[in-house]
Amino acid sequence: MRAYGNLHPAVTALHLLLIAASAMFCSDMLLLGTLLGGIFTYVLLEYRDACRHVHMFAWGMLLLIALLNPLWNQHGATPLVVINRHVVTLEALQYGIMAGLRTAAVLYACALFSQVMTKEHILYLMRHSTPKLALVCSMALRYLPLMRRRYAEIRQAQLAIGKISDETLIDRITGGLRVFSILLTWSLEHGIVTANSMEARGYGIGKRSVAQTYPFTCDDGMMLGGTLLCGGWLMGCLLTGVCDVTYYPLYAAAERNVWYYGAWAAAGLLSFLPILFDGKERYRWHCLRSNI
Amino acid sequence: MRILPSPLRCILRIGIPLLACPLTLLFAVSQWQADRYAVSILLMTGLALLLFLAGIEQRSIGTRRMILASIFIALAIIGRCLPIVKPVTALIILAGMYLGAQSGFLVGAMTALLSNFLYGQGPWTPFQMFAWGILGLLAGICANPLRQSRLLLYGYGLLSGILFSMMMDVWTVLWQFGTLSPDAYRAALLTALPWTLVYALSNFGFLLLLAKPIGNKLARIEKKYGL
Amino acid sequence: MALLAVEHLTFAYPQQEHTVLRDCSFVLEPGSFAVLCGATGCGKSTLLRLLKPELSPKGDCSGNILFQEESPFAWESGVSARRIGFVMQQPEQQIVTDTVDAELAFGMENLGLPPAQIRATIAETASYFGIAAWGNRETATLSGGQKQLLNLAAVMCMQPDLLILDEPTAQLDPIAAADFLATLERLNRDFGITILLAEHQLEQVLPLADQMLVMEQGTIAYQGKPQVVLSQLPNDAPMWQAMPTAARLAHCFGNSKCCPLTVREGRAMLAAYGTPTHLPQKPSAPKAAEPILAWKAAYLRYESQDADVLCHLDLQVYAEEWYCLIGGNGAGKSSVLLTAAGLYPCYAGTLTVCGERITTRKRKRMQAQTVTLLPQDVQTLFLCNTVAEELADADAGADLLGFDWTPYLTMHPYDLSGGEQQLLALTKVLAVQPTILLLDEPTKGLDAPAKARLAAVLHRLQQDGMTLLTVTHDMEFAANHADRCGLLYRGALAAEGTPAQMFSTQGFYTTAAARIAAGRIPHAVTVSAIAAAYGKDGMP
Repeated sequence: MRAYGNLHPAVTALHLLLIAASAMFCSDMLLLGTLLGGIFTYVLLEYRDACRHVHMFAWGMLLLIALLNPLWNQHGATPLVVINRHVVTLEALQYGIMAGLRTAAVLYACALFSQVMTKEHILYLMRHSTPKLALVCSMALRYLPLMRRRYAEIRQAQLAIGKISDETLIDRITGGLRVFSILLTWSLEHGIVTANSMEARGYGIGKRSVAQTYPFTCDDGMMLGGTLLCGGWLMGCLLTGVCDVTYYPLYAAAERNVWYYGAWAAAGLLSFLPILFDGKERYRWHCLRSNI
Repeated sequence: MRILPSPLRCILRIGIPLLACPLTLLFAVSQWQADRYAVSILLMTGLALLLFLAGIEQRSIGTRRMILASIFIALAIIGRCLPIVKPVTALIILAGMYLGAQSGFLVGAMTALLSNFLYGQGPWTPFQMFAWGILGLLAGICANPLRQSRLLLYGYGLLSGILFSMMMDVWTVLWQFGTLSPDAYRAALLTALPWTLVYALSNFGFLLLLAKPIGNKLARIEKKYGL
Repeated sequence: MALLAVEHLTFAYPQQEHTVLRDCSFVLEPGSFAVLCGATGCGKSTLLRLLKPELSPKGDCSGNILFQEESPFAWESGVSARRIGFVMQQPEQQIVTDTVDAELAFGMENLGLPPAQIRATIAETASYFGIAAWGNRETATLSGGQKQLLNLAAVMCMQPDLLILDEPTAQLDPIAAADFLATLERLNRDFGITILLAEHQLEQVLPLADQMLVMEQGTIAYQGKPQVVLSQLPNDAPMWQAMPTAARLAHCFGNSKCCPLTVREGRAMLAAYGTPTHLPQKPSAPKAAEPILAWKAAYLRYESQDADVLCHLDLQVYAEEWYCLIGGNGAGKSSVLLTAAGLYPCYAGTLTVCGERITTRKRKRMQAQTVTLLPQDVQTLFLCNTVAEELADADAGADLLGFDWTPYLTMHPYDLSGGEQQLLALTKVLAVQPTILLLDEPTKGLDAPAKARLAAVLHRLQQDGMTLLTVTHDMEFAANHADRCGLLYRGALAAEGTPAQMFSTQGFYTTAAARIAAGRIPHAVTVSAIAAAYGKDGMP
């Protein structure tokens, strides 16, 4: 059940952007951990296989940054060890862990974005905001499979008449260039046909309209409301400095007051919204089925 | 905007984003803690991108130019699949040089955006879009000298490889350490040196190989069908 | 009131003295289905483009074009885009966007129609054309015929009054072409939409048309009902080669009174002539000779998980013969050529080339010397900016095929006509001096004179000792020129023999002439064979 993935693209985009943005503005390890935890759990639940390569990358980056920062960064007042006249400080390590968590959270948000926001979703959003760019993207995306197939065809034809071969590396490079050059001529010449076809159907006479729509449902409204509420609250707290943490020279955590816990709750809710939403949908289907 | 003479309009279209971004940066730095450099840089690039793209959106680039731009985007995306040496920047430079500054930026930015759907989106996407876009834009602005002198073009290819690496390293350092300390930046540049060399040399190589055929083919299209 | 009236239209491209159109005049009544035909380069495309303001070429133009007594050039922007639909030759290149729905919406979005209206129109149009199930499919996954149907539907979404089509079926196989034309006929019959269609292969089109325009050297030489035009057409007009088989048959018989266009009418005409006097002899079985290419129980698949493309293929091609492989789409015809050219190895069975069994290691070098392939799309071979450079790139003498390239030397290969491109590609392909020449759909998109010229060139190569293996959908070409034919079905040979044997025994997948002669004249599969049976001359 991927109810979250079927939401209105604008809602999903806003939700994931807010998560990524708040992670970027946040310097508190607990909040970052919460954000990362929510989104990581959702990716594990729904997109484990599709995001296989992301796990490695995100956790690797986390480790790398956490370890590299104390090695490079000499700020901080509490020395842990001295390597080669280089002081490794506790504060630098703490900052590294925070930066690693932030990176991992943003990476997972982006990975989820790539999975949930398909090509159609992105093009839909672009069509409504920047129609001309959307058309350019749509055309470029159409050219991709076309050119791949055409490249294979040309290569085959050139191999068959013995003009190129793939025996040595040099052969392959010169052959590739030859094929590329033919592909280029073909693309440019036939691009003119496409331009004619566009103009014949009235392209460029005035403002274009957009046919594609996604219905904005009650679910979208709920999700949007939740996102705006939690995201707004969290961003507000972050920007006003309620959750600011000082790392250098001495680590000073944010004051644990109502505001801080409020921001924490908002972060938790925001990042666990997809799981809650899918759970709600599962429950609904469960009820429907048991009624039959 | 109609009333303005075209060079002025051009300056505004390119100048405003370039001005707006440093201003955002200044604002961000004065307002926030030092470790929010990364966010402010990201904001800045995002804003610059939006302004540039809005400029392109407003202006009519013509059907043919648009098709040629999308062909270049598709070619560059396919070129990114090649191992190690990639013709992406070379193609973006050529697009900027022959199709104009705006289209150059468009090709650069959209190549980064669309190809990252294959290679993974991340917080680096806006930065990559901006870096490639700027390289295409610069090539478009210097189109005349670049077209006249092959040597200059190859030089620009080498330079843009280095520039690209330097721009992306700013990003790496900021993201990892929160601040742009000269030490860290130098270290990042050093670690990335092999890649910088590969970028610069592959740009050089691909420009050497592609500049002439692409130029000839576009010249024919321009002559026969008009742009 | 005429829907379209063209009066004394004269046109020349800028900086060219030669006028492309000279004093063209014709009238299209609402609801007519007009076919425009003429030799390549007679100005058909220019004329059609001039009728559509968005596409009209720049140049000196005089005369009038009146669309319901208004000039389309005076319309507000957008009106002509909507009222005049235009479908071009290349199925793939006309598609703009990446999905079917977006493509259907494209035209209406350009006109700025409200979204609800666009969606409603897409829904009903897609349902009418039977493409509703394609929905969100990517346009790149459609076949050529499907793409052309999508182009037609996308144009029809704008509900034009006049539909102009410039050789829409030239790049399609006969089955897809028939489907496309049937859709056109349905549109014409159901909605009374006016259609103006340029075509050079008239076999399937002419029976549908109620008006025929014949262009000769930039002017409309004949116009009227097809039967009337055919009776007016002089005996030696080159256009006869493009006419439907039945019409050509009537022409051979010197019968100008009845003008049969379809196989049914052709059979009726033959029935009126009674029994043939000179029955053709039973064709002798082809002489078995030394096989130069031989597949024995060959199997091919492209990926290990895929299904077999060639499945126990047993095929022998004899030295110095012309062998034609026919068969439907996906029968594995092209795959046979790919194995012969050494691009893919058979994973089981054997392939013998010139008496040598091909092993995987020996494959490349040996086959490149002796076997060469003319690809289906010859533009995959053009690398350079001029014909002269192409010839130099091929290390080929310009006179290899006895074709004089001198006037074309400075031209770009893409500016040549289809037939000339084919010959240029053939010159490049033959530069390695092969003994076996493989041809993949060599007649695709060619008009009748170009086909005849290609056939003459190929016959000469055959006389010089070359073996030809052709894959084609064009059964008439196979029947007229091949020494032996084979029918491929699901990766194996289903039938084989001389054209006369093959096409006279096959009831469905055969030439129009064989269908006309079926049951009356045994073993006659070409127009000239039928004419000979009645003691008439072959082709005029």
